[in-house]
Amino acid sequence: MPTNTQTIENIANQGYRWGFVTDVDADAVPKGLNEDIIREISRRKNEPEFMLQWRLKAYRHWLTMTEPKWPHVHYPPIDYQNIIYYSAPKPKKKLASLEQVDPELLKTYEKLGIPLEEQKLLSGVAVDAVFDSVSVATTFKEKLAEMGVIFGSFSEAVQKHPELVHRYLGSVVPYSDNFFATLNSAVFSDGSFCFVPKGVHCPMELSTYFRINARDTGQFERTLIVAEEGAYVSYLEGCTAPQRDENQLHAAVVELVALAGAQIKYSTVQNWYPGDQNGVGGIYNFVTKRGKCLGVRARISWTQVETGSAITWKYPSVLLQGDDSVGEFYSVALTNHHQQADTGTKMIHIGRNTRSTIVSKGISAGHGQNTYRGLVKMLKGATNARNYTQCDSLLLGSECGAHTFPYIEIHNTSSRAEHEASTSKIGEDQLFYCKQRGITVENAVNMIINGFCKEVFKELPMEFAVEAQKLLGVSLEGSVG
Amino acid sequence: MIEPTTMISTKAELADRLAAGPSSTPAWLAELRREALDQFRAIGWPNLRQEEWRWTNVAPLTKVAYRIPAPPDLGLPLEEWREQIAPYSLRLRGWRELVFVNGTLIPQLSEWAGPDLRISALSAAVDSQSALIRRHLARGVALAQDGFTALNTAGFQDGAFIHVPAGLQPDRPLHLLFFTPDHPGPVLVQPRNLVVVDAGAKVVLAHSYAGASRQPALTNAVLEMVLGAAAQVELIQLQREAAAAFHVSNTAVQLERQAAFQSLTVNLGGALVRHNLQVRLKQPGGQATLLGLSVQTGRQHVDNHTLLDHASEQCRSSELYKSLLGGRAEGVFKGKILVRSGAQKTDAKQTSRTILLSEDAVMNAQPQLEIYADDVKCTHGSTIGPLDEEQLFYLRCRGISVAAAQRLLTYAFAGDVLNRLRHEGMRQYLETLVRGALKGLSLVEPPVERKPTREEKSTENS
Repeated sequence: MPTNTQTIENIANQGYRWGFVTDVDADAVPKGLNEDIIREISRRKNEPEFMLQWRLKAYRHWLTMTEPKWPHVHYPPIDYQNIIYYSAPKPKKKLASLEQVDPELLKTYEKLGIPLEEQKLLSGVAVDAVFDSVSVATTFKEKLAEMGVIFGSFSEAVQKHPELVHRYLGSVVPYSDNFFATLNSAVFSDGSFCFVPKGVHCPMELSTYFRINARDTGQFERTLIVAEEGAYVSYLEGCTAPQRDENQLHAAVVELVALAGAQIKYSTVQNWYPGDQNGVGGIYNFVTKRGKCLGVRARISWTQVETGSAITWKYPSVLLQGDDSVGEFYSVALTNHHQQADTGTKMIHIGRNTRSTIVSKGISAGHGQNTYRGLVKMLKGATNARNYTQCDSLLLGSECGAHTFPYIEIHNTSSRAEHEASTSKIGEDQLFYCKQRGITVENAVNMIINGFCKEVFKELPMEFAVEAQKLLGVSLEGSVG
Repeated sequence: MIEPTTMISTKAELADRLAAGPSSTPAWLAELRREALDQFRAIGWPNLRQEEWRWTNVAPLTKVAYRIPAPPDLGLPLEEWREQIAPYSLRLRGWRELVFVNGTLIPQLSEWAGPDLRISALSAAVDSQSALIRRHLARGVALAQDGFTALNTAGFQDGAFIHVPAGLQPDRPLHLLFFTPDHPGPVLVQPRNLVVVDAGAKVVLAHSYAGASRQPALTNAVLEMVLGAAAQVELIQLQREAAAAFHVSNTAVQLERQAAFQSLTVNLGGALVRHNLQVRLKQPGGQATLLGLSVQTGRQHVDNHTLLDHASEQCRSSELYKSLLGGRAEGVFKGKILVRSGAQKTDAKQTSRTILLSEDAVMNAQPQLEIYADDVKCTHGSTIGPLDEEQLFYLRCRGISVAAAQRLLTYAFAGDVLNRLRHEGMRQYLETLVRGALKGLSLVEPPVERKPTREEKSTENS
């Protein structure tokens, strides 16, 4: 199908639409990492002593660790001394309203299609936009505050609610967890903090846009979400990043804590710069995300659409500690050109009658390498635990790869674990059927891929579902031939 | 001889002992053994930190001071040897049989008459068939894979060399029996088999490992097989080692164009067992079927690793591994389907199923797909769980006791694997063996009716 291939290639090679650089004066610390840098970060952020001690503990532990080599990804060695660990847009004044925000910045968001002002009025979504490392605008805060919901930047939470931060920080992902989480613990600059008190059903979807902006700045943000007994919160995280040549490291940590009967829904659309067709540049997205169902009947659900980044390496996990708690993971990961993804989940069943569901859809095109790696572990006390896992991969092009590495560890007899996986390409007959009915190849492929991912998309909040479909369309929409 | 109770640095000791072994072999083989020995010295035993060994701790078997047993002097009357191996022999079922005791071929106990097949001890064939052996020996199993393959290559005692000439389809199947009698101390037995099946030939081959040793004995076996174009092989591996025995086996099979291979690995014995089975589909049109069945109880640990290497296009593979675990048994299954770049039109299917019959049994499974071609159909499925309560209930409704119902269901579960075996005689033989093993499984109490949790109730209401 030479003509088809051409059309598809045109589409597949569409440039990265969101590649632009905003010129804002950045207030950065010097390159490199040592205890002084950490003290400096902590000082600039005016943190209480316990934070500094925690960072230093993490840093000292990090020095004893080596970078893990087990994932199915390849990248040149990272020089950790060649990274600027803190960069903040220079504050002009204390920001009280949107008008005071750097107009350049607002333009960036407009290009991204985040109508910040409009959203404030119309969509009912509170946006805590993280631009590089410092939160610059927060909306709907007052409305949330009325209900007792605390939602804002991490640094703000450290200032205003140190007791909450102290209590929950590191309770799910300890400072010693893994190489990148430990690095994050030492140097994280900002992120989001959300606390939903007992019995409160958060009235709106909370969302954050992270952007990596200043050159050579690894973004180390840290998100902490706590839902008290019976609370409910749905959190959206969406990302796009400007086009750069140098690889940028992104090592974030997300911690979720759900107490008895609480429910947390965490959705991600990740569209960072994936590098060009030849695999030059792009973001290294090495993230640790973990939730803990601490109380009975708690529920944590991860939904992710990963289309960007040169390398994605993350396993949003759930520790099912409370009896009858539920963990869910829905994922679409797409790799095109030279992108690599090693992603999946870990479901650790500790409590009785715990249940987990995993649905993972991988799409590989070009030279993309897509790996699902997941762990389902049922401990001895996790009687009557239940897991269902489904991983499907779609291959577009003869140079790409799709891999599935699930780990299933069952330590009691009343639990059941099921795992299914399949790998295939888009059926010629499906394409033929669509073409016969006058549907162009790119539309047909788009339809088939969206159908393939439907199970995951339907878990996304409305706003994201639309964006996710568009993203897939742009990132791929073909490569069949 | 080293006292069995003396703890020694086994790796170095073993290496030295092997280095001092027979030197009468041809120069190329001596060189190969030396290379393997260096490899073993360098990499040593595997450990839990290695991804391929994360669920199988071989520490118990590395802490034993093994003696390498001398060939049996057959001091016992032949009749007594016959009696010892009788439970494992297939001769009365019409099979040709090569019996190895302590890793050495005992012609007096064997029978492989017939003008067709070329069968001999590997040690004897090294001289007479030098070119053929040199071409294939240590080509299927990489020395560097792990310490066990290196150790075997460095110090294998003997084994079978089987050459099936082109187009030959012998009417009688062949059985290799490796028997380790009781020894006063721990022993290390290292059989090495090489099977060359030329184009168009068809053969049924079984290799079984059995022992009577009350001391820990390690059998470290390697079997390499090459299938020529359109050759057909059915390979059965039957592991019935003694209760205290360690068993490690590495099997590597290579398939040329249009060749068809079927294997069945049955595990009924041993304390710590590990199988590596790798099948490489080198040429278009190859077909491979891998079957496995483990029935474990007590503290038995059985680890099955399989690799289906689709290196060429238009090959098909299917895999079914099942385990029944009682007592405190531990099972491991790791199966990889590797589809190399260019291996288009691959059709691969893998299934692993485990039934846990006891609260203390543990199963770890890792089905893997690694795919570098796009026009392929690959699936895997893995389930782990207890016996189906509804099936039990159905049978009990019809007046069948819990124990009988469980036996029936476990037998049906195992039968699903055995039924796929093409060789009728072997299938019947294995059915009898497996039925016996199932009786030994400690079956669980009937499951107690479980009340729905509040969560479930609430979802029902909504």
